[in-house]
Amino acid sequence: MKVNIVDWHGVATWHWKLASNDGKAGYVDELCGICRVPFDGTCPNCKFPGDDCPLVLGRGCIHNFHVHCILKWLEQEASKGLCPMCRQVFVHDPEDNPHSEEFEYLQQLEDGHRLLREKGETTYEE
Amino acid sequence: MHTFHKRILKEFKRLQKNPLPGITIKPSETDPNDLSVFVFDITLPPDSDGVLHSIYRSDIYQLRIKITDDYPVDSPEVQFLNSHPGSKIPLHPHIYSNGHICLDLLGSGWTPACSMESILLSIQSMLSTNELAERPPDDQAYVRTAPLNPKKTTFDYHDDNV
Repeated sequence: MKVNIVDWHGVATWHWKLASNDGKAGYVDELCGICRVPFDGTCPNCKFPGDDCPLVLGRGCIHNFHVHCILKWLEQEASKGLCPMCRQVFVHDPEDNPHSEEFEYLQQLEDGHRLLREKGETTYEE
Repeated sequence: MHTFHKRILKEFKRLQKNPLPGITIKPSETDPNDLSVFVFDITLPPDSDGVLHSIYRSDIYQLRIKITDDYPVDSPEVQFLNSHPGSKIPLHPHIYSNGHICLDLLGSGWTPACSMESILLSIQSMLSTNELAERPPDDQAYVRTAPLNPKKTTFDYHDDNV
Protein backbone atom coordinates (compact mmCIF):
# COMPACT_ATOMS: atom_id res chain seq x y z
CA MET A 1 0.00 0.00 0.00
CA LYS A 2 1.25 3.40 -0.83
CA VAL A 3 0.28 6.33 1.32
CA ASN A 4 0.61 9.90 0.24
CA ILE A 5 0.73 12.34 3.10
CA VAL A 6 -1.18 15.39 2.00
CA ASP A 7 -1.08 17.43 5.16
CA TRP A 8 0.20 17.05 8.70
CA HIS A 9 0.15 18.97 11.97
CA GLY A 10 2.89 18.78 14.54
CA VAL A 11 1.59 18.78 18.10
CA ALA A 12 3.72 19.41 21.16
CA THR A 13 2.91 19.46 24.86
CA TRP A 14 4.97 20.91 27.66
CA HIS A 15 5.24 20.38 31.37
CA TRP A 16 7.29 22.07 34.01
CA LYS A 17 10.27 20.19 35.31
CA LEU A 18 9.47 19.38 38.93
CA ALA A 19 11.97 18.79 41.70
CA SER A 20 10.46 15.43 42.63
CA ASN A 21 10.37 14.26 39.02
CA ASP A 22 14.10 14.40 38.51
CA GLY A 23 15.29 11.38 36.63
CA LYS A 24 11.84 9.85 36.52
CA ALA A 25 10.03 9.29 33.30
CA GLY A 26 6.41 10.26 32.95
CA TYR A 27 4.45 13.15 34.25
CA VAL A 28 2.72 13.56 37.58
CA ASP A 29 -0.21 15.90 37.83
CA GLU A 30 0.69 17.75 40.96
CA LEU A 31 -0.83 20.76 42.60
CA CYS A 32 0.84 23.82 44.01
CA GLY A 33 0.54 23.38 47.78
CA ILE A 34 -0.51 27.00 48.20
CA CYS A 35 -3.15 27.69 45.53
CA ARG A 36 -4.03 23.99 44.85
CA VAL A 37 -3.93 24.56 41.09
CA PRO A 38 -1.81 22.19 38.94
CA PHE A 39 1.75 23.39 38.37
CA ASP A 40 1.07 23.62 34.66
CA GLY A 41 -1.74 26.06 35.37
CA THR A 42 -1.26 29.53 36.80
CA CYS A 43 -1.33 31.12 40.21
CA PRO A 44 -4.63 32.94 40.94
CA ASN A 45 -3.31 36.27 39.70
CA CYS A 46 -2.01 35.16 36.30
CA LYS A 47 -3.90 34.36 33.12
CA PHE A 48 -1.31 32.56 31.00
CA PRO A 49 0.69 29.54 32.14
CA GLY A 50 4.35 29.29 31.22
CA ASP A 51 7.06 31.90 31.51
CA ASP A 52 4.65 34.52 32.88
CA CYS A 53 3.93 32.36 35.91
CA PRO A 54 7.07 30.29 36.53
CA LEU A 55 7.65 27.58 39.09
CA VAL A 56 10.16 27.52 41.88
CA LEU A 57 11.89 24.28 42.67
CA GLY A 58 13.03 23.77 46.24
CA ARG A 59 16.68 22.92 46.74
CA GLY A 60 16.70 22.02 50.42
CA CYS A 61 13.43 20.12 50.06
CA ILE A 62 11.69 18.66 47.02
CA HIS A 63 8.66 20.95 47.05
CA ASN A 64 7.58 23.11 44.15
CA PHE A 65 5.38 26.20 44.01
CA HIS A 66 4.26 28.88 41.62
CA VAL A 67 6.78 31.63 42.26
CA HIS A 68 3.97 34.12 42.89
CA CYS A 69 2.45 31.83 45.53
CA ILE A 70 5.66 31.19 47.47
CA LEU A 71 6.51 34.92 47.34
CA LYS A 72 3.20 35.72 49.08
CA TRP A 73 4.06 33.25 51.84
CA LEU A 74 7.69 34.30 52.31
CA GLU A 75 6.63 37.96 52.46
CA GLN A 76 5.07 37.11 55.82
CA GLU A 77 7.35 37.29 58.79
CA ALA A 78 5.23 34.48 60.26
CA SER A 79 6.50 32.16 57.53
CA LYS A 80 9.95 32.25 59.18
CA GLY A 81 11.28 31.47 55.72
CA LEU A 82 10.11 27.87 55.96
CA CYS A 83 8.66 25.63 53.26
CA PRO A 84 4.86 25.43 53.77
CA MET A 85 4.88 21.70 53.09
CA CYS A 86 7.73 20.38 55.24
CA ARG A 87 8.74 23.37 57.40
CA GLN A 88 12.39 23.09 56.44
CA VAL A 89 14.18 26.33 55.57
CA PHE A 90 13.06 27.17 52.04
CA VAL A 91 15.88 27.65 49.54
CA HIS A 92 15.12 27.73 45.83
CA ASP A 93 17.15 25.96 43.23
CA PRO A 94 18.65 28.74 41.11
CA GLU A 95 19.79 26.38 38.36
CA ASP A 96 16.54 25.99 36.52
CA ASN A 97 15.21 29.39 37.24
CA PRO A 98 15.47 32.32 34.86
CA HIS A 99 17.02 35.56 36.03
CA SER A 100 14.14 37.89 36.59
CA GLU A 101 12.86 40.40 39.10
CA GLU A 102 10.69 37.75 40.69
CA PHE A 103 13.61 35.48 41.43
CA GLU A 104 15.75 38.35 42.67
CA TYR A 105 12.94 39.25 45.03
CA LEU A 106 12.68 35.62 46.14
CA GLN A 107 16.42 35.59 46.89
CA GLN A 108 16.00 38.80 48.92
CA LEU A 109 13.21 37.28 50.98
CA GLU A 110 15.19 34.08 51.61
CA ASP A 111 18.23 36.15 52.66
CA GLY A 112 16.05 38.33 54.90
CA HIS A 113 14.66 35.33 56.74
CA ARG A 114 18.15 33.89 57.11
CA LEU A 115 19.37 37.12 58.70
CA LEU A 116 16.38 37.17 61.06
CA ARG A 117 17.10 33.58 62.05
CA GLU A 118 20.79 34.29 62.69
CA LYS A 119 19.94 37.37 64.70
CA GLY A 120 17.36 35.40 66.69
CA GLU A 121 19.90 32.72 67.47
CA THR A 122 22.51 35.15 68.78
CA THR A 123 20.04 36.99 71.02
CA TYR A 124 18.92 33.65 72.32
CA GLU A 125 22.48 32.65 73.25
CA GLU A 126 23.14 35.94 75.02
CA MET B 1 -13.73 38.03 44.63
CA HIS B 2 -11.18 36.43 46.93
CA THR B 3 -7.76 35.95 45.30
CA PHE B 4 -7.74 32.26 46.19
CA HIS B 5 -11.44 31.76 45.38
CA LYS B 6 -10.72 28.58 43.40
CA ARG B 7 -8.90 26.93 46.24
CA ILE B 8 -11.62 27.83 48.76
CA LEU B 9 -14.31 26.56 46.39
CA LYS B 10 -12.41 23.27 45.99
CA GLU B 11 -12.14 22.89 49.75
CA PHE B 12 -15.85 23.68 50.20
CA LYS B 13 -16.97 21.19 47.55
CA ARG B 14 -14.72 18.49 48.90
CA LEU B 15 -16.07 18.91 52.43
CA GLN B 16 -19.62 18.71 51.06
CA LYS B 17 -19.03 15.69 48.83
CA ASN B 18 -16.65 13.70 51.04
CA PRO B 19 -17.63 14.66 54.57
CA LEU B 20 -15.13 13.74 57.30
CA PRO B 21 -16.54 11.22 59.82
CA GLY B 22 -18.44 13.14 62.50
CA ILE B 23 -18.12 16.49 60.71
CA THR B 24 -21.01 18.02 58.80
CA ILE B 25 -20.76 21.26 56.90
CA LYS B 26 -23.83 23.47 57.14
CA PRO B 27 -24.15 24.86 53.63
CA SER B 28 -27.02 27.14 54.64
CA GLU B 29 -24.52 29.17 56.68
CA THR B 30 -22.29 29.69 53.66
CA ASP B 31 -22.94 32.25 50.97
CA PRO B 32 -21.86 30.43 47.78
CA ASN B 33 -20.91 33.74 46.15
CA ASP B 34 -18.80 34.86 49.02
CA LEU B 35 -17.31 31.72 50.62
CA SER B 36 -15.86 33.52 53.61
CA VAL B 37 -17.77 31.92 56.49
CA PHE B 38 -18.22 28.20 57.07
CA VAL B 39 -20.06 26.54 59.94
CA PHE B 40 -19.62 22.89 60.89
CA ASP B 41 -21.28 20.48 63.28
CA ILE B 42 -18.58 18.48 65.01
CA THR B 43 -19.19 15.30 66.89
CA LEU B 44 -16.88 12.42 67.73
CA PRO B 45 -17.30 9.25 65.69
CA PRO B 46 -17.40 6.03 67.75
CA ASP B 47 -14.20 3.95 67.95
CA SER B 48 -13.67 0.88 65.82
CA ASP B 49 -15.44 -1.24 68.47
CA GLY B 50 -18.53 0.90 67.97
CA VAL B 51 -18.32 2.40 71.46
CA LEU B 52 -17.87 6.03 72.27
CA HIS B 53 -15.17 6.44 74.90
CA SER B 54 -15.12 10.21 74.97
CA ILE B 55 -16.18 12.57 77.72
CA TYR B 56 -18.12 14.44 75.04
CA ARG B 57 -20.33 11.42 74.29
CA SER B 58 -22.40 12.19 71.20
CA ASP B 59 -22.70 15.91 71.85
CA ILE B 60 -22.70 18.13 68.79
CA TYR B 61 -20.59 21.30 68.78
CA GLN B 62 -20.68 24.12 66.28
CA LEU B 63 -17.44 25.44 64.85
CA ARG B 64 -17.12 28.53 62.67
CA ILE B 65 -14.26 29.08 60.24
CA LYS B 66 -13.88 32.59 58.81
CA ILE B 67 -11.60 32.91 55.82
CA THR B 68 -9.41 36.02 56.03
CA ASP B 69 -8.52 38.20 53.04
CA ASP B 70 -5.02 36.74 52.95
CA TYR B 71 -6.05 33.08 53.23
CA PRO B 72 -4.26 30.66 52.76
CA VAL B 73 -1.12 32.67 53.50
CA ASP B 74 -2.84 33.78 56.68
CA SER B 75 -4.67 31.35 58.99
CA PRO B 76 -8.47 31.55 59.17
CA GLU B 77 -10.36 32.79 62.23
CA VAL B 78 -11.73 29.75 64.05
CA GLN B 79 -13.96 29.42 67.10
CA PHE B 80 -16.73 27.37 68.65
CA LEU B 81 -20.19 28.95 68.67
CA ASN B 82 -22.80 29.01 71.38
CA SER B 83 -25.12 31.45 69.70
CA HIS B 84 -27.46 28.82 68.26
CA PRO B 85 -30.09 27.41 70.58
CA GLY B 86 -28.83 24.34 72.41
CA SER B 87 -25.22 24.68 71.23
CA LYS B 88 -22.47 24.63 73.84
CA ILE B 89 -18.74 25.17 73.95
CA PRO B 90 -16.89 21.89 74.63
CA LEU B 91 -15.20 21.64 78.04
CA HIS B 92 -11.49 21.37 77.30
CA PRO B 93 -8.34 22.75 78.98
CA HIS B 94 -7.46 24.57 75.74
CA ILE B 95 -10.92 25.87 74.86
CA TYR B 96 -12.18 29.04 76.53
CA SER B 97 -15.81 29.48 77.48
CA ASN B 98 -16.24 32.14 74.77
CA GLY B 99 -15.38 29.56 72.12
CA HIS B 100 -11.76 30.61 71.52
CA ILE B 101 -9.37 27.74 70.95
CA CYS B 102 -5.71 27.69 71.93
CA LEU B 103 -4.12 25.62 69.18
CA ASP B 104 -0.82 26.36 67.46
CA LEU B 105 -2.20 25.36 64.05
CA LEU B 106 -4.49 28.41 64.23
CA GLY B 107 -1.59 30.78 64.81
CA SER B 108 2.16 30.25 64.64
CA GLY B 109 1.83 26.66 63.41
CA TRP B 110 -0.16 27.60 60.31
CA THR B 111 1.23 27.24 56.78
CA PRO B 112 -0.61 27.57 53.45
CA ALA B 113 -0.31 23.80 53.08
CA CYS B 114 -2.87 23.49 55.90
CA SER B 115 -6.55 23.70 55.06
CA MET B 116 -10.01 23.80 56.60
CA GLU B 117 -9.87 20.01 56.54
CA SER B 118 -6.64 19.88 58.56
CA ILE B 119 -8.12 22.33 61.09
CA LEU B 120 -11.29 20.26 61.47
CA LEU B 121 -9.33 17.03 61.94
CA SER B 122 -6.98 18.66 64.37
CA ILE B 123 -9.79 20.08 66.51
CA GLN B 124 -11.73 16.84 66.39
CA SER B 125 -8.67 14.93 67.58
CA MET B 126 -8.08 17.55 70.28
CA LEU B 127 -11.51 16.61 71.63
CA SER B 128 -11.21 12.87 71.18
CA THR B 129 -7.90 12.63 73.07
CA ASN B 130 -9.03 14.80 75.99
CA GLU B 131 -10.11 13.32 79.30
CA LEU B 132 -10.33 16.49 81.38
CA ALA B 133 -13.72 18.19 81.52
CA GLU B 134 -12.36 21.57 82.52
CA ARG B 135 -11.61 25.07 81.21
CA PRO B 136 -8.14 26.64 80.91
CA PRO B 137 -6.87 27.93 84.30
CA ASP B 138 -7.17 31.58 83.20
CA ASP B 139 -10.57 31.21 81.57
CA GLN B 140 -12.44 33.87 83.53
CA ALA B 141 -9.70 36.47 83.21
CA TYR B 142 -9.26 35.72 79.51
CA VAL B 143 -12.93 35.83 78.60
CA ARG B 144 -13.36 39.17 80.40
CA THR B 145 -10.74 40.89 78.27
CA ALA B 146 -10.68 38.77 75.12
CA PRO B 147 -11.04 40.48 71.74
CA LEU B 148 -13.94 39.30 69.58
CA ASN B 149 -11.54 37.96 67.00
CA PRO B 150 -9.54 35.04 68.45
CA LYS B 151 -6.68 35.83 66.06
CA LYS B 152 -6.06 39.09 67.92
CA THR B 153 -5.10 37.10 71.01
CA THR B 154 -1.66 35.91 71.96
CA PHE B 155 -2.33 32.74 73.84
CA ASP B 156 -0.32 31.54 76.81
CA TYR B 157 0.43 27.92 76.22
CA HIS B 158 -0.17 26.26 79.58
CA ASP B 159 0.39 22.59 79.21
CA ASP B 160 1.52 20.94 76.04
CA ASN B 161 0.78 17.50 77.44
CA VAL B 162 -3.00 17.84 77.32
